[in-house]
Amino acid sequence: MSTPNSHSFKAGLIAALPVVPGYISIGLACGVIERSAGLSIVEIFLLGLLLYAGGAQFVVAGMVGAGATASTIVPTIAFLNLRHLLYATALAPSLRRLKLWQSLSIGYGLTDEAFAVDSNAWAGREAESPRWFWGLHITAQASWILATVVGGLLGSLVVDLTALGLDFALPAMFLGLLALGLQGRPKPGLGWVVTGLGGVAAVGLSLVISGTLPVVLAAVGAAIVGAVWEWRAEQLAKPTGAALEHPAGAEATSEGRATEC
Amino acid sequence: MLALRPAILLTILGASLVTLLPRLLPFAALRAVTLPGWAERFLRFVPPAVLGALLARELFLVGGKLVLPPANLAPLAILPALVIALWRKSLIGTVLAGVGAMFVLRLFL
Repeated sequence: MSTPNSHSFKAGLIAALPVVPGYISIGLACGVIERSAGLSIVEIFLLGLLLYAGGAQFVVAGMVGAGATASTIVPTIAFLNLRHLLYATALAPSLRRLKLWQSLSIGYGLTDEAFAVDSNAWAGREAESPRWFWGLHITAQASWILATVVGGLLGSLVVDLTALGLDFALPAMFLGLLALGLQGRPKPGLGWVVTGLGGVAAVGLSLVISGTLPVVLAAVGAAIVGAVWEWRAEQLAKPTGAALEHPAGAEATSEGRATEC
Repeated sequence: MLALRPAILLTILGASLVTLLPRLLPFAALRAVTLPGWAERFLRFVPPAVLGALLARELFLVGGKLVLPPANLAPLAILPALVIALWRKSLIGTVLAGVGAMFVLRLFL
């Protein structure tokens, strides 16, 4: 799953399957909350189609329910969703060979979960076709829209899917993607260090800053530490060029080769 | 039920626009530009850093507060998932292990 050997729509659809149970359980809950905030089914559908961001849709529902208007809701959402800038920037090199409209159509469906699956599958590689991404993103968004609309229609009749543990599908998927992605790297150890740093920083910052800004700050900080660490390790390895032939050195330098030549 | 009120439509369109911009701009902006080596190096570490941040928040924060076991089951339920992730290297297996562990924990605790 971490390295798709197919660009096909179907392979993308299959890659979306781990996302779907989490989206359905959280989407149902989101729809119930949107409906109880006074949003209509049409409005719930449009939120899933156009805004398509779980956390942001919960916030919109909460603020609409509290009587807030666009003038306060829109800036809040802008702040909350700034992290997508990081996702799109990280994914952009893999989509360089696609037509502009194709890469934009892929960017449209970038959520936390879609980015996690995308970056895991395409890290360091360039896609030749958008079909895999479309298969993944359309499946994920369709399941999300369907779940929020059904949640809105059923209202409080919705069974509590959290009792089944389905709400835990998303954190478990984040972990699975982490493990699979890092094991495919030349230096998984450093990747785990960056993961841990990002996690500790995000939780710490979240205790003092609300919203998702802590995610952005923690991720940028941890990624900088990882990049500097890797760069320094390469600088230190350079003078003893013979070490590159050594298995222990080879592990550390397959990523860095491009900059050395 | 099928209403679409102008004020709500304005909110939806505004919130969607400010979400679309960060989702789309980098794809347009980075087409003509080849990123320098240090930027590509940084971007390679963004996925594990983001996943670590998202995962830790999911596991340890409840309503914006740090909650540890036994009051919070999530850090316990992730352990079987971690074993499956490292041992079986299967994404769907990891998800099932996590969901199953959470179901069992909520049943008994």
